[in-house]
Amino acid sequence: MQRHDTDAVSLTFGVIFLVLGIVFLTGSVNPFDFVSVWALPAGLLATGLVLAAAALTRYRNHREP
Amino acid sequence: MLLAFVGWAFIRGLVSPGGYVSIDPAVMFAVGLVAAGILLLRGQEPAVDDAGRAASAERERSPLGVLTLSAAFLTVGVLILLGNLGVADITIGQLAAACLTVVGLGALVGTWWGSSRFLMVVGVVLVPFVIAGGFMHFPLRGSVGDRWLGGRSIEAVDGSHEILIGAMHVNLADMRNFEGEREIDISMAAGNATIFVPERIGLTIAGHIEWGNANIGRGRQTGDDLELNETLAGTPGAGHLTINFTGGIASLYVERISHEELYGPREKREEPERARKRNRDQTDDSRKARQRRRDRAEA
Repeated sequence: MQRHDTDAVSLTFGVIFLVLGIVFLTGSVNPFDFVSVWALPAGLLATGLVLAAAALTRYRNHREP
Repeated sequence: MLLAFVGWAFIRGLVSPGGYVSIDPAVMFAVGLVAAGILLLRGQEPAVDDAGRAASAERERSPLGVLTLSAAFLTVGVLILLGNLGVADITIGQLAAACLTVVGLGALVGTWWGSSRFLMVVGVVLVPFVIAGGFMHFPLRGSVGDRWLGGRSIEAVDGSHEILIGAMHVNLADMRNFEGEREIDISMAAGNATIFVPERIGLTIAGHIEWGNANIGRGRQTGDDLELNETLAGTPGAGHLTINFTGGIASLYVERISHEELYGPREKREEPERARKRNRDQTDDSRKARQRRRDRAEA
């Protein structure tokens, strides 16, 4: 496996899966509370950040031929 | 070493402490998962020579996805084995969460090395199972499918039942001569339970349901974190039955019911018996008539 540029999609999904897995691995969370209190806002925040990062990267690549 | 451990655990699972030989489905499942992980790992060995590899270098696929899946299989398999051997208490939710954690680690590796798009699909598929598993604080143990219980004597009913996924039907409406007190423990990770008990006996339902509903007599509860604590008095002198119910995603229906209510009026039930008797009488008559004809012919 060769090293490549940072893959934002893999990073986002990796972090989400890892956090979700660790939280539920501890076994002390109510899924209803987790989804409404944490997962929904965290998901929206992550989506916003990824969209912003993708837009900025495209803009930077466009300006630097 | 891993194979030796799996072999030892498998033999432990086959031979129960009681001395008789049995096969635990969970142990078989765990061994299968570990074997799948090892096979997937073996599949990563180079199978083509250098020339062939150079020719296909352009379309070479990243092994990251398969490696991560094999790690997930191995992790879950080993966790199940540890749970079955009593080394640790591993719940169904923790198994799903461990699998998702490994997939997440694989995806993170794919951020800089290899390609891990396949793992996104696996992770997204796993998420609902992980969330559902959050309601199931039960070990991967118990029966799968329907289970029927009944009998005229309380002695014929086991005191403890574990259901992994499925339905449980307990019909004690025919029960007779029940005095004193008796407890039945039911643990259900996912499924529904229907319990009928005779009207005359006292009944206590105690326990907890993570998410689902409970209908006990005329009471109804729906939602998550349901606490069950209902006592219905019986007729004086009759026995008292306590059912301790622990459910993950479960539905519980309990009703005290008379024999007639459950099976219909006694007259209707006696009709088939009368019909059988009538047929029997007619058969006897025809047999006698045949015998008379035979006797007449011989004479």
